[in-house]
Order: sequence, then C-alpha cells, then structure tokens
Amino acid sequence: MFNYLANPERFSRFAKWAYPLLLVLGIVTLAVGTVWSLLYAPADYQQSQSARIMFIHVPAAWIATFAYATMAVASVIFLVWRHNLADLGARAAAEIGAAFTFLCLVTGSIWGRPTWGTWWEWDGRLTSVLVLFFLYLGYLALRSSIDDEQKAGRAAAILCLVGSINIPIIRYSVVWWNTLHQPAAIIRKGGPSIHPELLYPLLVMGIAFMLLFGASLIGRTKALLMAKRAKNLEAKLVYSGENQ
Amino acid sequence: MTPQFHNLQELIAMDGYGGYVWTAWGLSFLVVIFSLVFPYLAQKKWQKRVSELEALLAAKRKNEKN
Repeated sequence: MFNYLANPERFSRFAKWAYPLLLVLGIVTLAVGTVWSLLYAPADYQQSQSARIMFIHVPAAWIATFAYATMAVASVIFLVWRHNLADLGARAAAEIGAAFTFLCLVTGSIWGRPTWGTWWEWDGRLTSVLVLFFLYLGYLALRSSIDDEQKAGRAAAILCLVGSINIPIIRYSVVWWNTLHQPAAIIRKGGPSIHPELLYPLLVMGIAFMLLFGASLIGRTKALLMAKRAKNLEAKLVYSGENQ
Repeated sequence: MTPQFHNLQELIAMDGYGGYVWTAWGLSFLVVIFSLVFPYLAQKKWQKRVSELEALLAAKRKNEKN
C-alpha cells in the first residue's frame, strides 16, 4: 500500500477519486451529526446544554492525536524507505493537526468555563495537549527554517518521532495524575460509560471529522506535490535558459 | 428521537449556555471550512502554475529544435 502510493502518478490517480468521495461523505455525515447533536441529543443531567460542546471538542481531540500518529507513521516511512511523498504527507498532517489541536484547546477552554469555573488549568491532560500543539508548531517551524528539503524532512521526521512519546502521555494523563479533566468515557475497559443517546451522535461527529481529515490530508498532500513539481519545472527552465 | 427545543429562542439561548455553545460550534465550523478550502485553493493555484511552466518549457524546447 505504502509502496503503491509512494509513486506520485499513482497517488494523483488515487487522490482524483478519493478526495471528492471523502469530502462528500464527510460533509453529509457532518450535516447529520450537527443536526443530531444540536437538536435531538438530550442535555446532560449535570452540565445541561453546555455538554453540546462535547460533540465538537472530543472529535477535534481525536483528530489532534490521530494526525500526529499519521505524521509519525509517515515520518518512519520517509526515514526508512525515503519515500518523498510520505514526507509531504507528514507535513500536510502537521498543518491539519495543528489546526485541530488549536480547536481542541479552545473548545475545551470554552467548555471548562461553565463546568469547572475556569478557562484554563495546568493539569496533566490540558498541559500535554498544549505540548502537542507546540510540537506541531515546532515541526512546521523546523521544516521552514531549513532550505534543503531532504534535510528539513529528515530533521522534522526525527523531531516528530521524539515527540510521539507525548501521545501515550495524553492518553494516560487522566489516569496517572489527578486532573480536572474527566477520565476516558468511550475507549475504556468495560465499554463506554456515556449514555447511548449522547454516544451515537458523538460517534457520527467523530466519523465526520475523520472523513474530512482524510479529504483535507489528501488535498493538502496533492497541493504540496504540485508545488514541488512547479519548483522542479522552474529549475528546469532556469537550467535550460543558462545553457543557451 | 424528539427535538430538545420548542422554538428558535430556546435553541439560541441553550438554557443560558448559548454564548459558550455557539462560540465553540462557530469556531469549529471555521476551522473545518478552512482545513477544506485551503488545500483546495492551494491545489488550484499550483495546478495553474504547473500548467504555465509546462507550456513555457514546451515552447522553449520547440524554439531550441527550430
């Protein structure tokens, strides 16, 4: 699969049908999830209507960590097999991941104000997600600070792999430390503790965010691939001009 | 499934949490739209540039042959 998509021509053919398909499916699922979450899901017995923030905060958190895992896998592929397309995919995932981590932090802060009485608390979960956001920014800053694309890709891939230690820290922060943030309610031993009437619309929103992440990742990777092709063509033009 | 709100005012007010809920949802839609529109526009921009450069290169090669 990786070797198959590593070829730019094959990736472009794959993107041609996968990008619109994921986009349309994502938009339809998002519309269904939005109506279900905002109009039909019941209010939480403790948090009342403020719990409706959960339907976007939790999927944003899933994408924030999933994008980093995607980046880490792409970085390994780039470092081991030297597939340039994997490097472009990692960069695309970093840009999208940074946006969704920002969204996760801001929606969490907005939700925290009415439920915890504070916009921010330096507890394990919040701090580790903030570190994730800085890792994304650091990754993107490192890439843009090195002119040689191969060197930039390698340095950024190593930073990404070192930073991946933060993913299990985020996952288990609510277990290891006493935090204001609630413990895992969906992926846990004994099954989800959340009521099905709230769980199902949350899962629909999660699927919508995943589909849209996929569409955005493919679209951004294709744009980066084209930018690279444009650079190569510019170099060819300059070279042929110099040889005349 | 039954609707949780009887009218638009109730939906907007969200039992006094409307400011929090709608700000969070509005921001989320902005981020989602941005994450979809930005790659699309970048694709269009680079596709146009690649086509221009390919045409330039083809014209240059043609001139060289002549």
